[in-house]
Amino acid sequence: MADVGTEVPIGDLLASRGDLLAEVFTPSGTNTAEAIVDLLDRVVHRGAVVTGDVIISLAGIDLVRLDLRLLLLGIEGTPG
Amino acid sequence: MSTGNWLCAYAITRNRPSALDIGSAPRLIGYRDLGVVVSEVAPARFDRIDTLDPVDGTLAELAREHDAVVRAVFRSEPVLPLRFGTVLDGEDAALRLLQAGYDQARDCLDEVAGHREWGVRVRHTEPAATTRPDAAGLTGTQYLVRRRERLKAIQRAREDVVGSAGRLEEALRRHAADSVSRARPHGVLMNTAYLVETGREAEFHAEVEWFARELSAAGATVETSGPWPPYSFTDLELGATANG
Repeated sequence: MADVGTEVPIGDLLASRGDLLAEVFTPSGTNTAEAIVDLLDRVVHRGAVVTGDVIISLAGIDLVRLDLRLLLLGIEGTPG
Repeated sequence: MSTGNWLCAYAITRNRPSALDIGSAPRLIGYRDLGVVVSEVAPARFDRIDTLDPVDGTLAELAREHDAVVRAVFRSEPVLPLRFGTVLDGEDAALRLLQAGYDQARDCLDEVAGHREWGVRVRHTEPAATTRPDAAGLTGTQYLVRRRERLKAIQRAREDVVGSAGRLEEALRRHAADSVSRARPHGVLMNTAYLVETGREAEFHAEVEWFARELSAAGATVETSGPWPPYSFTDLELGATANG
């Protein structure tokens, strides 16, 4: 396990952001707000959750999640 | 022991530096064959999130950044995206996370490797049932018959679209490794995320197109989004404590 703790610079990841976002195919009829909701729903509500003392709890985040849920209901109407 | 710097963590990936460009932040902290992608973060960044206007405000901006980092890694390596707002207590914490979550993370990474996520949504806007036929020149009975026919036609169209959307969902499942139903707002009959092996994407999309024509004839539209990193298919909890 000689590679424990290796740190490697990844590169200027954000430089190509425009191209990366363009990969998301949003057909006509899908408005920008919906595209953002699609993104927020994945980035903020999905993905692996880390727990335990390695995590710093950010005071604002849970509130944001709650607000976001309300917001999603507001934009998207009643699920069904 | 904490080094005192906070690290925003984006994703767990393979510890393969050769596949990644040289530059500054974000960077990879590696443990065995896994790595976690992190960047230094000022906690104040998150304070700027405007909870009253999350769509246009800082949250959307930060979420796009998060997504951009995940995608950049996803271009060359499989990723296990971490939830937005995962802030680690320094490099030691990042290492402990990889140590404690190693088996779980590696299994999940193996599962999603070689796959991409696609979203498929079927939307159907019905003509308003309250619209009344033109009553001019009709007797009361004729008017009621017209109105009933009209409502029946709307009902039939709805059944056609629902049936077709159901068949689409079923057909796509056969081309996908996994699928997850998502929230269905009003007017949306189907909203599903699929995890599709890259080698099967062509047949997946051919199926979408075939059904899109059928659904279009029935007055519904099919919308596709993607490719996404496998956000909807990495539903796991990685726990790490000081002794983990």
